[in-house]
Amino acid sequence: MAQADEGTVKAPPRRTERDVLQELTADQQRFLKRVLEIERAKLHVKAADLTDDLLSAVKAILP
Amino acid sequence: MRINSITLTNFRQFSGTQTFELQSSTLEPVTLIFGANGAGKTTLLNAFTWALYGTLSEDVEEQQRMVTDSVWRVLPMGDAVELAVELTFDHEGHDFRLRRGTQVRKESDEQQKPAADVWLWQTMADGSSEEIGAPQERIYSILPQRVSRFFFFNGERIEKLVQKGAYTEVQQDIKVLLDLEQVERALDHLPKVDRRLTADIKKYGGERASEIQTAIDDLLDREASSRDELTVLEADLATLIEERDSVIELLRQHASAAPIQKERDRVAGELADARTQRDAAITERASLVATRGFLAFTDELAAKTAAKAAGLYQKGALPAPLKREFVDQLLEDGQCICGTALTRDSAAWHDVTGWRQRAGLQMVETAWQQLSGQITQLSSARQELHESLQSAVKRITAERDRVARLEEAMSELDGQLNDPRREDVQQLESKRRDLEARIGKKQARIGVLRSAIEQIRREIEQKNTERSKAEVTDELAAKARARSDLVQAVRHALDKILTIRKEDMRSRLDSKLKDVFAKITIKPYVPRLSSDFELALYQDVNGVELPVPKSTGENQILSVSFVAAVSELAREIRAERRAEGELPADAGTYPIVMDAAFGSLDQNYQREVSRALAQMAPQLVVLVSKSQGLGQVVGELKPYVSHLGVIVIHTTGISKAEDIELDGVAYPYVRPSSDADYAELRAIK
Repeated sequence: MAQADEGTVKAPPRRTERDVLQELTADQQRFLKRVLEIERAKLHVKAADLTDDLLSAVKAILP
Repeated sequence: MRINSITLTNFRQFSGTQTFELQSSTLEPVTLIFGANGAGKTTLLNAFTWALYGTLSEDVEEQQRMVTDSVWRVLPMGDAVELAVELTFDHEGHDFRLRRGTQVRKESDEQQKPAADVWLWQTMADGSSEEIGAPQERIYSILPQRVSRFFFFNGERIEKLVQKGAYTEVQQDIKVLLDLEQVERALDHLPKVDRRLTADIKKYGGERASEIQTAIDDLLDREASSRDELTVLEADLATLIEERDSVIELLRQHASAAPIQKERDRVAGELADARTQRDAAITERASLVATRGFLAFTDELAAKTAAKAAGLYQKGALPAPLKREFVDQLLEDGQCICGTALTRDSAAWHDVTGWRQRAGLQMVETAWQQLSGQITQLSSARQELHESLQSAVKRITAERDRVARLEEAMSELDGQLNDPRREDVQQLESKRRDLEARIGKKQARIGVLRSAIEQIRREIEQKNTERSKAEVTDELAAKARARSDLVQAVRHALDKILTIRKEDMRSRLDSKLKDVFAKITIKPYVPRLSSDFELALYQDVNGVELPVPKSTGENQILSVSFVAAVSELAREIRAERRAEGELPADAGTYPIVMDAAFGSLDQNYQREVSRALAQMAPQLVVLVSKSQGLGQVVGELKPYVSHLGVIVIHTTGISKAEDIELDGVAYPYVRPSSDADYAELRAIK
């Protein structure tokens, strides 16, 4: 029974976005979410320099 | 975003202030508005985009004439009139009122393009209204302008969306809708954040940590510069591939033209021969007439001459010198014609014998024989001339017919070959080879850069590990290191998320597109979205997938399917739990406003497109004429319709009114007007 699949090669399951998120720490997850919020809010401004906004977000998570 | 109403004030042909309610529900998402040609359907479509972005589509003529002509005409010089479009809509749980407008002052009879202002108010939870400081920016964040073409469009022009060469732009635009753009931008911005943070490590982290950080910074610089070069190379490659494909297309056209060209060469040869034969026949006829034409007039003359000569001969009164036989006969008879006896050796006998010598002259005899011979031959020569001329004329007629037929054939073939895009095949072939070589070089360089970036990434990871182990005593530097680690980790995660999303979006969009297209089309074609977002149609022929050349109608169906699929996917992905966290229930929801919604599609397709859109779009505003909309479209959309309206055209150009009949009730459609031309937006349901 345990040998039923012997000889066949199973493709590794495709990694999902959730898999990637689950590998992050809580702080990393919070920061990633915040980064996307900041970027989404300024999507319409092509030349937006969001360095300060993102820096503030880092400091908010790791004060 | 769901639109609740639109109000137009003196906007183009919509005079005065007119409001149309558009609030719809999930079960009845459709608003159907009828309008005759020129009534203002395109204007109404443009009113939405003008309110949102302040622009009109290219197909709107006389763009400076924004105020209704009849209103402008009666406006006293120096006075001002209001021009505005107002939209109310809700978006991600908030209600908005958007107004774009201005007071247009009349300074001449000609209108100048007005500069309008925009205001946006958001309704707060307590019912109060708050003006938004940067209204245009907020609108762009709700629905970026370049994305709006997927939602506000003219059905007759929508096929451009899937035409060759359009996919690079489509891919770019679609990134926003499918949440790829924000990830790409984050990946672009985070290294700058990291650099700011690591400056403190270099400054306060001690010798070892500072050294490692300097190495990391160098690696990051190299990575950034490699990525920049990669971006440029990839754009160049896309351009070269596009150019190569168009050259191949031209070569394909040449290949298809080759049999036509061959036929043209054959016809040209035959035509030259026919013209030569015709000209030869004409020359021959001219020569016949010039050299033997007189024979045609000798019939009567010859007969008369023969008769006269014969008579004279009978009478012996030939004008020619005496014939020897005649003299011999006289000598034999022994008597002259005068009665004198011709005794041998008499004086008379000698006289007559002397005549015999003269009558026997060969010259005289020959002259007579020639004359009589020629007279006899004249008839046959004339017959021969007649036959030769007949033959020449027959050949001339036949060759002229052949020339005319071949000239027509040449003209037809020239028409088939007359395409200015066709260049010389050899030039094209050498261009194709050159492009292939350049593509190969770019691909090779891209490959080198990608592996170099991979290597740099590995080195950065190694250095980061070293950095985390390096002793850092300074608190500021330690904090900077922790923050930098956070940024790096998130950057890696976003990189992975982008790869996953890209493939996920493409495959889901491809699958949705196949579903929608299959519901609409009756043909056994299957659309496919490539990794470059290029849309192509295929047909399974005995297990072999062959590309299908797309007609305008198929392109329209494909485009509508694509829009419907994008619209549905945009909503679907935002309902899933993703890195962005929970989003409002209507995130990714956008209305679809279509003018000339069904383009040139036939009835079957109109029905199927109507059904697909009504079922897939969260809000659908369809602008149609009677001929486009009655019948299949109304029948199909009816269960989904929440609002029904007519743009009534009031025109001075006609004297007879026209109605539109909906559910057995007649409504005004076209109305004669005694003084002004304008459009009236009238709600029926």
